[in-house]
Amino acid sequence: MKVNPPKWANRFLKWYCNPELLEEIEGDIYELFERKILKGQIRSAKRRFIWDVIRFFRWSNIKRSNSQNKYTNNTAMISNYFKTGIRNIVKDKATSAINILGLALAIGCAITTYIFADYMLHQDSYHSNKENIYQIINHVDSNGDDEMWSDAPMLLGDELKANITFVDKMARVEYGSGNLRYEELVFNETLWFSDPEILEMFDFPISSGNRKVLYKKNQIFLSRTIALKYFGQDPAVGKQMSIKYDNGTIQSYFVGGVFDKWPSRTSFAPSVLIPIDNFYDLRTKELNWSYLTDGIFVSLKPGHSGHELNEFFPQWVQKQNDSDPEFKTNSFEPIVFSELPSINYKISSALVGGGHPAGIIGLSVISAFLVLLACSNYVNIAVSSSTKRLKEIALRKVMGGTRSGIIRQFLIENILTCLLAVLLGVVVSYFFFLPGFNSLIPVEMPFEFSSLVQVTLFFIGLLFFIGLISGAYPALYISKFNPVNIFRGNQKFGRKSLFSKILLTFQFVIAFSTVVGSFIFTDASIQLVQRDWGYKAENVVAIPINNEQQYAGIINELSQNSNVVDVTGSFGHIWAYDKLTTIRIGETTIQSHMYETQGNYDEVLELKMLEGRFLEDNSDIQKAVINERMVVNMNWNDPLSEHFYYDSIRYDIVGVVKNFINDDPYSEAYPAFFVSGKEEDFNYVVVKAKEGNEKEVFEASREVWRKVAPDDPFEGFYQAEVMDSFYQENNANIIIMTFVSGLALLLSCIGLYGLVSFNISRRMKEFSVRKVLGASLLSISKLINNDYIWLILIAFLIGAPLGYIQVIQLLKSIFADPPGVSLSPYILAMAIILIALFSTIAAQLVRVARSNPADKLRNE
Amino acid sequence: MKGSYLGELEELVLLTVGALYQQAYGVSVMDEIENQTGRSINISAIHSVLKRLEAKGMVKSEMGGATSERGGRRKRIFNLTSTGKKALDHSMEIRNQLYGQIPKVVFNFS
Repeated sequence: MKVNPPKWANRFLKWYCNPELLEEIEGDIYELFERKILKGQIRSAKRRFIWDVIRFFRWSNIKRSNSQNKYTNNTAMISNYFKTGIRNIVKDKATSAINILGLALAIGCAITTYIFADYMLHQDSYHSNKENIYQIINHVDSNGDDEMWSDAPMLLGDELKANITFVDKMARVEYGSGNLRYEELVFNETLWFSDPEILEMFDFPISSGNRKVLYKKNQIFLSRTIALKYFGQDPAVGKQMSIKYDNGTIQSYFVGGVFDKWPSRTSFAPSVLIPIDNFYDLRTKELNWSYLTDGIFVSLKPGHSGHELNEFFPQWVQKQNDSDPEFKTNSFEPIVFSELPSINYKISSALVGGGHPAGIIGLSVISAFLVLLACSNYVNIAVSSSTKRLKEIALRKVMGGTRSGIIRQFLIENILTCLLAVLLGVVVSYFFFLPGFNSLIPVEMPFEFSSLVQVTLFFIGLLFFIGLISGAYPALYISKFNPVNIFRGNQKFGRKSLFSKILLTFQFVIAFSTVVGSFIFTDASIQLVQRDWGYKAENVVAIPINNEQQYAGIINELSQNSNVVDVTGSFGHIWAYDKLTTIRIGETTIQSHMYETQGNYDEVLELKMLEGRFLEDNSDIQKAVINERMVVNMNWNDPLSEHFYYDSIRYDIVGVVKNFINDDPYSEAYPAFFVSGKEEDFNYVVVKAKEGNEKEVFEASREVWRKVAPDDPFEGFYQAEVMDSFYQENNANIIIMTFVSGLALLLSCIGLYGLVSFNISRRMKEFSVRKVLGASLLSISKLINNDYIWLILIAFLIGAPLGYIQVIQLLKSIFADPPGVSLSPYILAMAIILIALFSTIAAQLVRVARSNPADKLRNE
Repeated sequence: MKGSYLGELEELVLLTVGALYQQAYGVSVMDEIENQTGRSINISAIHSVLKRLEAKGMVKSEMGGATSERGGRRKRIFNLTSTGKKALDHSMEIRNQLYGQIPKVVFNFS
């Protein structure tokens, strides 16, 4: 048996030793080693060898410089790698296109996700003072849990300003609402009562007016949108407007200024800004520490930082606790403005920032999966396509190419391919993915990045990550081959590669699970859309009203309108105003929605009676109609003989209606009851129009409204449209799911296509011989399919249940009352995948079938 | 003259190179010293001494022919130069001279 010295020691010697001395040194060490071996002292020989190698590691023997010409040689080689790389990409157009396209699609997703995350996490970053502005967050004890509230005691603002010398400016935001009126135009607007310093603290862009106007109590500041709504292109500054507040007070104001268009990524944006003194005027009671405003911001003088505020807080925490034992403040925490967007999901009713990170995380995971899919495609195709390049590799090795040189070559080629893919990915993201994504979400994200450094790092990282992940295995694998074996032609290779099979299976597991998942999800979503509302919303117009005069006026006018079938009034209205009350049934109390209606409310909305009758006008005192859910919750067999107490009045049940949707279809129906209402309490008029005439009725109601309530905005709506926003969201979900699963399927098919086409071209000669000898297309297709059918089957068995489990979890987390899952999405998903796979393989089979065996065999 | 000074090990190696005429290379020098003196010296030490001697011009070297031993690696064969010979003569002379100056009475140990 031939004994070799320890490999690593030898490699170490070769690495450090000056090449001019290497031969003699190595020779001497070997001679000593062999002498010991001959004596049979193998272990001691090895030890001795290692010891000698270490002893030779001295200054005089170590190579100290890489000679100059080695460097130039490297550059030449690297430029050669680039040239070979480009030639290879151009030469094998189909494979390169598959590789680059697959990667580009995945990269496009990654870039779009990055833009989304960047957009969400860097909102409101244009305020130049953002590092020096702090929001005072209120840590509130809620049944033992510490919650972060944006709402903080209003009086805290005054205290901060008065007692802390290094507080420069302080601004509170107090939300309100009111009917803003200019001449004939009246709309209900969200109002921001705020300290005048808010304009000096933040860099809100201003198109007219100046940052001092709010110090005058009767001046207001409007957003550009609001100014356009009331004044169009006319200058707004100086115009007189009036606001009717919720308590009926009417105040008049002058427009002091108008904001410019908000920069993109703005979440913190006032609509109508009013000096806070107006808020104090509206209060009838004295303000105390239990009154919470919606947010307090302070900016500090230069050289101070937020944590210096902490020592002042305990006294105010105490004051708050004394005045409000219900919601006790644990502590106040100053949070710097620039960090608010990234933690806004933790803060309840936060004023600044995008939203919950679930969306970002979900999209990132999806993009990562797609990138991995594309990478595994690339690995598979790269490994199998290198069969064509075996001779090149062998020749490089024979000419003195080292293994590391070949690895470097393949990695450089890879990064070149990835560079093309990244460029194409940017194009795909810019022209398709981002606009597509924007059309599904409520905001419009521009194709831009908050920081140049970060985005450069992101792209370089993406490039090298994908380049190395996808290139490492092929490079390591191919560079290992022995040139002699390659030239002899007996390099066994690629045929039974377990690795590529695992990769392919992994791809299909992902494809199957996403496709199955998306089908179940879509199925559930469609079921939701089709869910019966429990009443007929078509042709119904509902109008919120404020008082009895308005009610009487509208009813009078509308009942004479020939387009109107029926008019009713109610306190509370399905979906729009569902008052939550507590009722007592025997010993138990339950929560229930309550509607006080006229007797024909059920006819106007076509509520479906299951038992008994609906209410009758005026005569039905102390009678109630309940919904199915209450019957089920109470386990009543004969609900018509039951009764309940509300406000200590006994109500006998006279009828049961079918459940109706009064929230969104995600949530399950809630107990509800109807009782007879009085006209003076009504806050809704509900009109049923003649089939197809609801527009006329809507316009007629608007006309009537102008006469009966000139000071209030008309807020009528079509009952059929109340769930449109839900449908849009639902549709967006369906589209995103379908898109992702489609992309996963596409990527897997691209991978399969590449692999099959490669295997077929490798075996073309074999197939030609078979054809010449009379093999049918069927038997050849069996040969090809055999390799893949098992993989696909295994992938299906793993992937389908996986997708099912994931989506059921998802559905459970979204829907309180998940719709049933039928078998059809499974079958559909399976059919689609199988069709996709077999058409992929079939496309290749056609190539075999069409080819003339003579052409292939004549070559050699 | 600083360059001509010979250390003890250097002198020993130089002598061995001379004695092994045409056969002197790392391992053989090491073996010969071990045989003659019983001193076991690491091969790397021999190499650095030989290199030092060559730098002082006392030995010259050339690569020998390839053989099947040592995995086909060639040996570097060292030979004495005239400078080396002079240095040996010089140190020998000094020794002899000093030895001759030792009074006979010193050797009388009985």
